[in-house]
Amino acid sequence: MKKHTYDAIVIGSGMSGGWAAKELCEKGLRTLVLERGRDVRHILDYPTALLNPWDFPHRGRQTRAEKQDDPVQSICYAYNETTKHFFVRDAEHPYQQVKPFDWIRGYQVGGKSLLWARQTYRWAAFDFESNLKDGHGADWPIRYEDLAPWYSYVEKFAGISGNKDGLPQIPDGEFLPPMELNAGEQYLKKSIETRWPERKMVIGRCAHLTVKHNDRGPCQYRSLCERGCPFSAYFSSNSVTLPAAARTKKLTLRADSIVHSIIFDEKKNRATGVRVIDAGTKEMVEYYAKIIFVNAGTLNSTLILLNSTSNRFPKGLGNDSGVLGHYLMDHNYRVRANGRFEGLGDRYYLGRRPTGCYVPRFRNLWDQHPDFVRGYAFGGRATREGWTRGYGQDGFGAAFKDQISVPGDWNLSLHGMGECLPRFENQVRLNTEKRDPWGMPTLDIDCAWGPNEDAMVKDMLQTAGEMLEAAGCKSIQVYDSHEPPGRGIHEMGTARMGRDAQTSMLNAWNQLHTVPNVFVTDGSGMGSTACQNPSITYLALTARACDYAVKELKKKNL
Amino acid sequence: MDRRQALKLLTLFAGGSIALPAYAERILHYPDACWQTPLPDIAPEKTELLAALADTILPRTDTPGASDAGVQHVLPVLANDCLDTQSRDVFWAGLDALDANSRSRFQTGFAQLPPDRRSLLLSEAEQAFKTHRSQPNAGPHFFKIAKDLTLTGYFTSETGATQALRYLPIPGKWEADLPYTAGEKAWAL
Repeated sequence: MKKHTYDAIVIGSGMSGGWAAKELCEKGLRTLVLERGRDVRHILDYPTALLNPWDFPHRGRQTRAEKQDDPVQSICYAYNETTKHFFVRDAEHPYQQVKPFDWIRGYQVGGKSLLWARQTYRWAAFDFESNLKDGHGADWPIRYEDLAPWYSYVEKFAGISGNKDGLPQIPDGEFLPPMELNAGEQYLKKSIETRWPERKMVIGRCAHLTVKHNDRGPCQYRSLCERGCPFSAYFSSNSVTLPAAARTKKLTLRADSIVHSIIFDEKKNRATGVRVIDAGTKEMVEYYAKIIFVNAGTLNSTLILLNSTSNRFPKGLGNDSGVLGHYLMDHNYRVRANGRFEGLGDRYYLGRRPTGCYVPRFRNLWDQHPDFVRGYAFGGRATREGWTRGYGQDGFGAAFKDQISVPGDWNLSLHGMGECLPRFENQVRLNTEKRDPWGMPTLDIDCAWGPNEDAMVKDMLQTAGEMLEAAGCKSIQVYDSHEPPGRGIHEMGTARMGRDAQTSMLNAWNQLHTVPNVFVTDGSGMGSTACQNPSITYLALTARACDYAVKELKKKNL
Repeated sequence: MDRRQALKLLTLFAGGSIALPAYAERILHYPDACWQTPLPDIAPEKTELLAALADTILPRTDTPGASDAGVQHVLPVLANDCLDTQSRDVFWAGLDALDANSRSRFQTGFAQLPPDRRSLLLSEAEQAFKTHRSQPNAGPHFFKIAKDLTLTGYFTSETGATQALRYLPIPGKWEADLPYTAGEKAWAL
């Protein structure tokens, strides 16, 4: 028993779990981090990081077998021969799609922090107020001012490159020097901002080191990030937070440990520990601690809570309200647009910048669109076409070869990133009939886009097209991929924060309203999505919750 | 690819501006793993045919041609493993048809034809493809598959990437806006 007792347990070692581990360890707590997947040691376990395209038998391309074996994971833009070892095998990790939902997952130490797209934008003040203002979802129990110092705190440690653009919809933060726009992007920016003064284009803000930072980096501009970075130049649990936690000597990291449920003591009204299935032996073991941080990743955190039943909580731990599992959201990334620009043939670039440019939200800031609430942003990029344009061209032979061996026209592209409304009917349910190979119940995922998302898509198609048109692009393609939710890989909600236990799971400190020593600080706590990439907000919420939890622990309130 | 060489190359390309972390050396000894798959067993005549086809699509100019880059060896791997089964079958059947066409018209295999006759036959294949693609629900076509695979195989090969294009494994910097002079090769990545 004593051997299995810690001060704190963190469930999950991904983006938010890694940060929780760092905070709790640095505050002196002996912390056990439980990771369901295998160990991935920083650098040592990035087997493809330094390989060339010709080192791969399929030159990095997906194979037919991979598409068949991993029908969901292989849909992800980042899944290929060079990265597939950081994705789950679909057959081992079943779930049910009541409606189409792509659940992209990386079960390993570091989780999806190895694979993320590394874009980092603060939420705006109005993002925390929108639920209250238009009545969709529960009012956030915090405001921007509550989180701002914690954004600063995590940005400083993680290392975020960006420009201080002075825009209220993406508040400025603590930035390392920004990367620069290339000639095509500078041109597009000028074109957009001249025609539509309320629309801006800025360089992407990202968790990449443009200068050396805390003995990491700088970025070498290879843009092979999803293979793991041997220069530690982007933020991941493996490269940043888990090493920081380990340096305190307070960290115990246990991989291959699938959390089954949280143990609840009715007399104390506290969680006392967790039940863990050893992924190798399938044996059940228990670990105990004073506080528990649930950071298993949005849907798995909710799965664990749903599976933690007791007399007091027959519907899942802390679930008096019945909202656990509900209000699932994902960013709507359906809209893509691109066009060919024939000018600037005398400009080029060197290096592969691991971020794009960004058109921050411009809808429903100063006025109200008649068809939808909330808003969207565009990610974008300008590149000069390379040899791959040959796929789409007629011809072959010497002249064809020489022509596609030099840079072609500029390709300007935009992709929409839309806010998704919280709706009760978008939900996950525990399926105890269908179990995974470890005997765990699985999830039925029942989620679809709603009329607000569809209306927003219509507007995105219009605005993306008109921006490329105004820039003088030719062969413009604008389309709605109609991809289902999940594909944004920003699943949020299902254990939302709110002001009271009747309508939400978590309070202003990401603490279960009804079980005060359990904190949930990943995407499951989100009560709305805004349109910004969410990870930096999870990190800020996590650091803030850890600070609160340890203070409360010292006051003996937990 | 020898990773020790790769690392040396990296430091060279980065202009010595970066010191590789000491632990990077340890990567060198990471066991080569899952992505090592055996090459399919292809008859020498078929390899010759594939080389002739690939060289017709991407011939030697002032840069190496497709077969100089070994494209004939990667084509069967890409065709067998990466294509859907229908496209795979269309590819291999089309290859045989191309050779048979050559034998009936010129009394010799495609691989033995002089370059202008190979180009003639492939032009006819491209014409057939253009007609084919305008049909509703046009399925995969031999010419398109052969061309796409050859491009992939060539420009991702060491020879193609480093000689027909410019390959920087570790750029070490981002230069956002540089002048471009006509004729300079494109970046491989």
